[in-house]
Amino acid sequence: MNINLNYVFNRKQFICFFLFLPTLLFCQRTVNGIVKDTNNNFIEGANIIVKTKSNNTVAFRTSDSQGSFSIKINSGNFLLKISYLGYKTVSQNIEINNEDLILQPIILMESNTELDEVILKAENNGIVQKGDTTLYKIEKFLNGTEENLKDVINNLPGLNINEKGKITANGKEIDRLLIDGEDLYKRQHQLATNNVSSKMIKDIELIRNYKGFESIQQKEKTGLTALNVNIKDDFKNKFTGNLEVFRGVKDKGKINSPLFNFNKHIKFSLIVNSNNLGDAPMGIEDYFSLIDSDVRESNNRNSKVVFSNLEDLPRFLSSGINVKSKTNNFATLSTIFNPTDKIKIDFYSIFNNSNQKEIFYRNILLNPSINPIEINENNNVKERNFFGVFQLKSIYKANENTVLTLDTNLNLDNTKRINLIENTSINNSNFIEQKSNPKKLLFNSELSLKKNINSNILESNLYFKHVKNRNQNSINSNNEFLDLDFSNNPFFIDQSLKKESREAGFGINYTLNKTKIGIDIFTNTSLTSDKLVSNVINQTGFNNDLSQNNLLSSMGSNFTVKINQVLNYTIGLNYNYVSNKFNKSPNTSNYLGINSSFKAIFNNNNIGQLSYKFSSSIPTIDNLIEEYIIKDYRNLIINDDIKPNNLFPYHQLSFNHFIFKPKTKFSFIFNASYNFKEKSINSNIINSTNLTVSKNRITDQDQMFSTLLFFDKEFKKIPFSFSGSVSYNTTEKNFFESDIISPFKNENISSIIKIKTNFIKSLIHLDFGFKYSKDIYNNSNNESILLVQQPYFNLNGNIIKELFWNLNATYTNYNASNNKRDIFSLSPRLRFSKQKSSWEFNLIGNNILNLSNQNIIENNSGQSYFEQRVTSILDGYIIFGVKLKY
Amino acid sequence: MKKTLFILYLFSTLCYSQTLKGIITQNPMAGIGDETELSEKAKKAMYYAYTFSNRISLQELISKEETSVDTVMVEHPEIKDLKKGSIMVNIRSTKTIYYKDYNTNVYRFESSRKNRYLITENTSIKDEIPIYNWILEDKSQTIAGYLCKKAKTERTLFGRKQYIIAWYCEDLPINDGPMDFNGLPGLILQIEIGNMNIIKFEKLKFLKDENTTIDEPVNQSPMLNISQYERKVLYGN
Repeated sequence: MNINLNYVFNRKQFICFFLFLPTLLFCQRTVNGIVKDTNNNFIEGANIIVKTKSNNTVAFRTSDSQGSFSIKINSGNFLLKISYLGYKTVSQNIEINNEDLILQPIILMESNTELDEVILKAENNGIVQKGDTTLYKIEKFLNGTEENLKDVINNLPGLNINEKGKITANGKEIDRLLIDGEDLYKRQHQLATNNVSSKMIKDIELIRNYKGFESIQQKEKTGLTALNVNIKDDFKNKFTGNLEVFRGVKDKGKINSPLFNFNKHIKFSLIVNSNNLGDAPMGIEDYFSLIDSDVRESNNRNSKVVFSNLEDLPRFLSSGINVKSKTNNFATLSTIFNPTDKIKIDFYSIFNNSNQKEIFYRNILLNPSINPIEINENNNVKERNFFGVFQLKSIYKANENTVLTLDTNLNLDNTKRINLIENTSINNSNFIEQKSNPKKLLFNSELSLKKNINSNILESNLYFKHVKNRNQNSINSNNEFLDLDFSNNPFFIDQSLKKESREAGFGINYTLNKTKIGIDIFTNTSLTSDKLVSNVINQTGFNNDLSQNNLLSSMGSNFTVKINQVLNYTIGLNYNYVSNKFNKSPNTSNYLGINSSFKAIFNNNNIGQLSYKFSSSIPTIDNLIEEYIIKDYRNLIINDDIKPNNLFPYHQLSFNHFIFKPKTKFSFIFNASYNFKEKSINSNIINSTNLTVSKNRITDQDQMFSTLLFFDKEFKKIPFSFSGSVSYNTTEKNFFESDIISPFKNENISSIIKIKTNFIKSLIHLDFGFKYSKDIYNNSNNESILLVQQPYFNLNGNIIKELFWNLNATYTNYNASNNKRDIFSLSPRLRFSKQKSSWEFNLIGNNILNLSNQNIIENNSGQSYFEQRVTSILDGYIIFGVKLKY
Repeated sequence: MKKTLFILYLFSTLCYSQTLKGIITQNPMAGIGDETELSEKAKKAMYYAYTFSNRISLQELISKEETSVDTVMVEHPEIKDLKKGSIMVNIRSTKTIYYKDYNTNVYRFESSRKNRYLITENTSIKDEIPIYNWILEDKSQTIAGYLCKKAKTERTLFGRKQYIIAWYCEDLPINDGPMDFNGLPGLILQIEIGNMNIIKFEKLKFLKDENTTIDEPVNQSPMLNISQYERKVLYGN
């Protein structure tokens, strides 16, 4: 009996065990509910979807004829979504524990708008957001009058082309411009925007957190923005391009010929251009990006570009159309070759020859606060420049985790400049001829290795850089100048300046990525050897023979903490050691750097960042010259109290926030930055009738603040888009005027407001706007102001299907303290292009109301002087051209 | 008072009627058998009109299709300049209707086409609406502007196993889809049958305050159920 009972008990236990087993294993529970409408009728066929918190659908049912449903789900927290055609979707959170759940009756409200909105959204919006990529289906935004990439980009919401010809995405310049996935034009966006025809474009993608071929980061966000222009298949695997020839009155003309080949393995582009209309292949920022690899890569290393007052940059870079005449002949060749999946070879070269003539009159007021000296000059500057860049980058991606890169860069820059000056300020007028011939050669080679070790990243690089500068300067006059002794030669001096720099360096960076924290450890060492030699024939006091050897070694680490889904916090500390040998006297110094930032990523299109950085800079050989260097016929430079072991600590504080809403086509940007230097290199300026001496001196007040607000909105109901930006920049510095501390302040306010129509089918398309800019220079409470106001409008359309027209009208009002000018410029254009014909005819007029002798007002004031210029600008022109497409 | 309520009630039921209309394209990608490459003619897309109203859906062929028998000259693989005539048959239905009534659980299929001897064959099927066991996946893509999620299933048709991928949109709360596909938590906007066919919604239009009466198609031949039809095609009885 006992045994029997035991047996029964055992069996019960056994059954019990099996009874509980499935629940233990699956823990599945049933959720029951009923769906009704507001009239208490059951809804049959309603959708019931069970989602996890991360929006994954785990189960679904439809309600039966009694409106009821039952779903089996594992325990946990879920979102229940109940929807039915024509009714408002209801969502509710449910929590499933250890028992079945019976829900309250779910009542759906009738709504005939919700689905309508879903459908409207899908039909009318040409923007598709997919993760980090925003795809613009361009046909939704084009009206048929577009000629090339520039016109296409200007029509897409959120994208723009700024004053410098660079493409901006939501107000910020993009980091990479890709044509069919390849970075063919580097930072020379204008080459692409002017030469890639709108007919070649399939669609355009804006990629955030872009990862290029050489990137091995898998999860990390790169922070780079790229714009990819996809090419239609019809234009691939063959040579395509066009030839444009323009000719007009007064020898104005242009020849432009782009040639492309987009192949699976090779992307090729050759652009040849010769013109005297002011088209240049690059501007001043491009120049720096071409000669400095750190600027080019926009990586987080500090840029080593040094702005020194000895630098002699080619003038054609910054002159734009503010010249009397200008001829540019250039060729750019870019080839990207992918022989296998593992290798990429990228060759990029620009060769440019420019000839320009500038004519300007300037009025300079030296020492405006005490004892002012007035100078009036007529300047006539002729410049000839040859500039060449050759870049070769080879990338070997052994596997997904290892990348080896060799980047070689050669730059040649050769300028010949003659400046004829007529100084009318002194009673007997002075004629001065200044000749200079700066030559620059730069070679740079960098080998770098990136390796991904279990999602931790090791980066190391080895580089060598050689820069050679030479400048031969001669000044010839009919009178004495610079207060020199001309007893041996008739008012003539000849200065030669040589500067040579060699740099070799090595760096390692190791990034540890954990789920919540990231740690970045780095060390960099570089050896620099600089030499500077200068002398002036037959003059004493102008001999410099300087040498400086620097060993700069820095190490540090950055910690990144992911506070939650949205917030990231980074703090970093670095230690820098400088060992310096200036003219054989050794010095050492060291300093600490701190950086810290808060980053909030609400989503891919809503990012805010607040960051702070504290670091120091060290003087360069240019700051340490021991005897005078002649800048021009009335400017001398020398060092006063800068020591090679001086440190110049600075603070940088910046905040930026951007929002882009692809559905409502709205974008907003706010940027603000504040730079504060505890100590900086400035000048002690001593002005006299014939001479200005600037002595490098340490000052304690040097700060800069800049802010930008930008917004762009395309309306749904009215066919207009509206964009505007306001920026404010101010610099405040203390300098010395004849050994007395004097403040200098420069403020600039500028703003642009644009309104643009977006009719898809219309005879006329219009955009109009207003530009405003005000510069205020303040020297010890004396002010010099330039105000520029510019309303403009642009009309374009087609008269018949094949004939496109374009009319641009700009009115500019210059208002300076003692000079005013109004300029009205009218630029019409006619383009005849047949759909299937390969010929196109153009009649272009530019500024046709002023075909000769036009000038504008500029304000170039600075510390201890106010300068107003009246500068001749390029004449207007009328040209006729033929374009052959193939 | 009662009268007004009644009128209001009537009004509200009338007010919330709706119809969804769309265009579906079918793009044949590959054929069955040894030679799976399709001729240009066979690759041509077919267009259907789609209507959904009162839990009834109808998909009807609207593009003009016809069976074509072409003689093409094929070069002899070994002897040069010797050409042989070869017959290329592209069978296309002149009429295709898919009808699903979720209120009564009725599935109807009507088709009429000429066979390779250019003799017209009619097919009429009546069955319950087929049930698929969908496996939901975590992938999504945008189709015709709608964010769609992926689901997959398999079925056996004419003794062959077919792998089916569906892309459905949760924002469109209709459990329907093209052809006989259904049963996902949202309208199926794209169906991929193996690598052979892509059936896709190109356009959707929502007509509120409009009820469309959809009638069951009239059968042109005796009605079979799906398994009877399969048997007929495979074994001829």
